[in-house]
Amino acid sequence: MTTLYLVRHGETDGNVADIASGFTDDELTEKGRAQAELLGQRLKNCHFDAIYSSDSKRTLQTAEPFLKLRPDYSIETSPELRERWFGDCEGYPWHRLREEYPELLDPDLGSDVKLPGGESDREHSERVARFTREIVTRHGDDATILMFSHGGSIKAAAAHMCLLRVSDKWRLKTDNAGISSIISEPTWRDDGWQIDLWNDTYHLNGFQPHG
Amino acid sequence: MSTSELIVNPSPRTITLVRHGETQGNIDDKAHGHFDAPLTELGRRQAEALGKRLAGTKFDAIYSSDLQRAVDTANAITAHHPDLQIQTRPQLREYHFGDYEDSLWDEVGDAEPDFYRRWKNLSTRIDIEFPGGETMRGIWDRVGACANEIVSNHQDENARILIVAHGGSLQALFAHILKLRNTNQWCFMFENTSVTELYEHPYTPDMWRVGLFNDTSHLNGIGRIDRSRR
Repeated sequence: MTTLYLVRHGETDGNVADIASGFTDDELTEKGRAQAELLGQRLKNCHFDAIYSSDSKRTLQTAEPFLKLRPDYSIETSPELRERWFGDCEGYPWHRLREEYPELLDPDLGSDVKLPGGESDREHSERVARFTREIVTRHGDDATILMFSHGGSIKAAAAHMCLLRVSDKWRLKTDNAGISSIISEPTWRDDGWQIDLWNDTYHLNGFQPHG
Repeated sequence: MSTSELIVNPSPRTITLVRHGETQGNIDDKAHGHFDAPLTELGRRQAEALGKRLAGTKFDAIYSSDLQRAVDTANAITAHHPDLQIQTRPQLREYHFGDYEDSLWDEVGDAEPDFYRRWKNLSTRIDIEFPGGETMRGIWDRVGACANEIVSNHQDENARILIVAHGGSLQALFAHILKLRNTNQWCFMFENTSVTELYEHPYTPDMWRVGLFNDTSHLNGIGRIDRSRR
């Protein structure tokens, strides 16, 4: 069985202000750093065959405490896992985006709306999907893989591997430093992967690390 | 203030989905649909742990399949919510496997290899008809009608609804509420006494999102990622 763990970065200023940050290289807030510490405690005793991350600061800062606890692990970074590129609209508050581009929320048409100079949701999803397929293929039929990424990218990876429609990704909610996982057995891989756990934030409230 | 800010719902409607605790049929891998199996001893302990976990959450209503494994799991929750009356719905029952009820799935596979292959293949499962039992499309419709009934019963913008049902009926219920295609319902696997939470989107009424899926942290004090330790 192959398990792919998908972890969203901790809180950023952009998250607090509810701003569309795609390639904009936000840093974690103090709270976001505390979330990353708790995440590291949660993950420290887990086995992973490979670890990947978006090359954005916020995901690397989220992975940092875990890697300090586990110096035996190394991480491969890639721009392919970045959040959607919002183009000229980078830094817009989400309410402004929704007002100026209401078609973004259209369940049928929203996936193909291209913001000026930026990616459509489908283009972003396909970029992440390509990379995700490549890494799960690379590690074979029995691997545990960890990926630090962004809300939109995690949803895109899960939706693609599970054969959901691109727009179905918006049915999935991801919180900062939440852990999700998708699984596959070689025998039913062609039927799509399965979601095994979604948006577990147990480590953020009252988690007592053990072992 | 912008219009979108005005329509933000600070406390959206929430639906919590729970699968029943372990039964002997789960252990033996039997086709137990309408077959009315009780919880095992472990199933009871799982249900008690679940009850404790949900003790501090205020629910406006609790619905359950009328089969005893679901009702007994629901009872372990209402033990901590004495004011809540369990509302049973036969439409929330597991699939009716017809002639295969109480058979081992391995035996079904040996006796009816073609049928079994179509059943195990997710691209053909939607066309399955269980001899003497239900059709997969019929199940989709009856569970969907129940989902619509329950959601429309609770229009209060901060309503919290709890539903206890079965692996298969929860997949149909979940996919209905999230408006996924019926062929995608099986990519979400619910474990015994797992907790799943759906939230109504703050900007888009009747659009629901999954904020937590298949969480069983109450069963071992730690979430399931910790199982990947070697």
